Amino acid sequence: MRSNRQSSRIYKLLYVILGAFVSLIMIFPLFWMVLSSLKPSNELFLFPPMLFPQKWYLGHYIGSMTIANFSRFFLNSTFVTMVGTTLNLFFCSLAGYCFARLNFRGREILFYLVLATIMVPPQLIVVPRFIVTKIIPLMGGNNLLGQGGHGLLNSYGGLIIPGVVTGFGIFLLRQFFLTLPKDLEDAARIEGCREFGIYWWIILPLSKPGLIALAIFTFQGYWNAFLWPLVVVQSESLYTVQLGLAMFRQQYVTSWGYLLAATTLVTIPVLLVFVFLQRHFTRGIALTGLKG
Amino acid sequence: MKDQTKVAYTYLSVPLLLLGVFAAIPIVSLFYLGFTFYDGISAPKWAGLNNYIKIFLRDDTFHLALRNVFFYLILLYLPVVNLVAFSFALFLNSIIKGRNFLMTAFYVPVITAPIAMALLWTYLYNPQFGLFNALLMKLGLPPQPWLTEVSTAMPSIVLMEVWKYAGWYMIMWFAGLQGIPEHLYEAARIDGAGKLARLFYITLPSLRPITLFIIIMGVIGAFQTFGEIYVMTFGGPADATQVPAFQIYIQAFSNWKLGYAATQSIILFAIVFCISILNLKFGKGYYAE
Repeated sequence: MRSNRQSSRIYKLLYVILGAFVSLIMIFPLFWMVLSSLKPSNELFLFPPMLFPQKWYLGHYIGSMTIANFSRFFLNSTFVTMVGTTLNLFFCSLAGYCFARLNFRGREILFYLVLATIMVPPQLIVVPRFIVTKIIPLMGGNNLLGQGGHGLLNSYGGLIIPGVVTGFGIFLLRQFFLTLPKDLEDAARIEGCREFGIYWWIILPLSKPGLIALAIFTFQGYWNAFLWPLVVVQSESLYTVQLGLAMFRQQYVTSWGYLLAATTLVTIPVLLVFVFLQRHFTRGIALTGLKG
Repeated sequence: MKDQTKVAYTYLSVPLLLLGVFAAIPIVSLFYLGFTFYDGISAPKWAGLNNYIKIFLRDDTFHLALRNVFFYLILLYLPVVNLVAFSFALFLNSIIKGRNFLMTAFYVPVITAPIAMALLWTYLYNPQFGLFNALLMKLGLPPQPWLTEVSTAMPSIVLMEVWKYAGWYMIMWFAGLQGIPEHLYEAARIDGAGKLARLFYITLPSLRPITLFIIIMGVIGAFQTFGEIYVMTFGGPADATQVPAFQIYIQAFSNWKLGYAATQSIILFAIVFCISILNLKFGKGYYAE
C-alpha cells in the first residue's frame, strides 16, 4: 500500500501532465499558424512538414499588407470596432441605467421587448435587416420614403450602426446596475443632480467591471463579425479584416502564405484584449451565462 | 415613487430607436416577407403560401441542411464537446494552482475569429500538405480526406467546432461546479460515498439546472453555423456540409430570393423558439434570482 504522501505526489504529477497536454492541444493550432506564417512558400507545402521554419521569412506579412491591401482592411476593422464599441457602451449603459434605476410607465413591457430581441439568432434576421438598411430614409441617395438609393448599404454607417444598440448589452448592464448600492445616487438626487449627471458622474465610474465585460463582448463581436459585413459591403475598399481573409480563399487557388500571415495579424488584437482583461471576462461570462 | 417617465423616455429615445430599427423591425417584418417574392430590387410581390409549400414539399437541400444540423451538430458535436468540457471542468475544479492559466489556455480558441480559425483548419486539414495527415502518417495511421470526402467532411467540421468551443462550455460547467456547496460532499464522504458515488449522486443532480441551459444554448448555437461552412467547404462536397444558415444566405444573396429566404428563416426561428420555450418552462424553477 502506497503511503498517502507518495500517492498524492503521483496524482500531482499526473495532473500537471494532463493540464500540459490539454493546453498544448488547444494552443498548438495557433502556434502552428504563427510558425507557418513565417515560412517561405515552398516550405508551406513540404510533406512531411517541419515544425520550425528552415528560413525565417517575413514576406507574407509584408505582401499581405501591401499587395493584398490588408492594411486598408485593418484600418476599416479598427475604425468600425472602436467607434462601434464606444457607441455601444454609451447607449447600452444609458438605456440600462434607465431600466435599472428610473421609474416610468411601460418599463416592464419595454424591457421584455428588449429581451425578446435577444432570442432571435442573428443569422435569421440578416435578410430583413439588409432590406431595412437599404431603405433608410435620407441616407445614401434615398428620399423620405427610403426609395431610390442604397441607404446605409456599402458604408461605414452600415457596418457600425446596426450593432450599436443590442438587447444583450442593455440586459447585461441593467443587471449590473441593479447590483450597485443606491445610497450615492439618492444623495446626489437630493442634492438636485440631474439624472444624466448621476449616470455620468456616479454610476459609470462604479461600473468598470460590467462595462469592461460588455466592451470585450462587443469588441469581439465587431472584430470577428463575418456574415453581416459580407452582406452589407460590396466595395473592396470597405472590406473588414474578416472579409479580407475570406478573399484569400478563392475557388481554385488559395494564397496560403498571405492567408496565414493575415490570420495571425487578425487574431492578435482580440487575443491581447482578452489576455489583459481576462479577469473581468470570466466574471462577465458567469454574470450573463447563469442569469440566462 | 417619483414618476420619471419624461426623463426616462428622453434618454431611451435614441437607443430604443436604433434597437427598434435594426432588431425589432427586421424580426417582425420576417413574417411579412415570408409571404412574398422579393428580389431586393423590384417591389415585393405577394406569394401567398407558395414559399411555405416549397419549403415543406420541394426543398430537398434545406431538408438535407436540417438533417446535417440535427445529426452532426446536435447528436454528435454537442455530446462530444460537453464531455470534453465537463471532464476538464471537473479537473479544474479539483486543482487550485495553475487553474487560471489552464482556464485561459482552454478558452483561447473561443475568442479567436471564427473565419480565421476556419481558414487555419482548412490548412491543417489539407490532404496533401496539411499538418494532420502528416501527424497521422508519422504515427503509421492512414491519411484522411478530411474536408474533401462526403463521409468525412461534416465530422471534420464537428472536430474543429469541438476544438473551438470546448472552452466556452467548460467555463459554464466550471461555474456550475463552483456553485455546489462543499458541505454536501463532506456529508457524503462521512457516509462513506466514494468518488464515483459522489459524482453521480451529488455533482450531476446539482448541475441539472445549468445542464438544461447549456444544452439549450448549444442547440441554438448549432443552428447558427455559417462562417465555417462558407470558407471551408461552401456546402460541399456534394452538399455534404449544407447547413440551414448557409442555405438562407445562398437563397437571399446568391439567388436573390429574399422572400423565400425569409420563409426559411421563419421555419428556423420556429424551431429555435420552441426550444427556447422548453428552456423557459423547465428552467423556471431552477434559476437562482
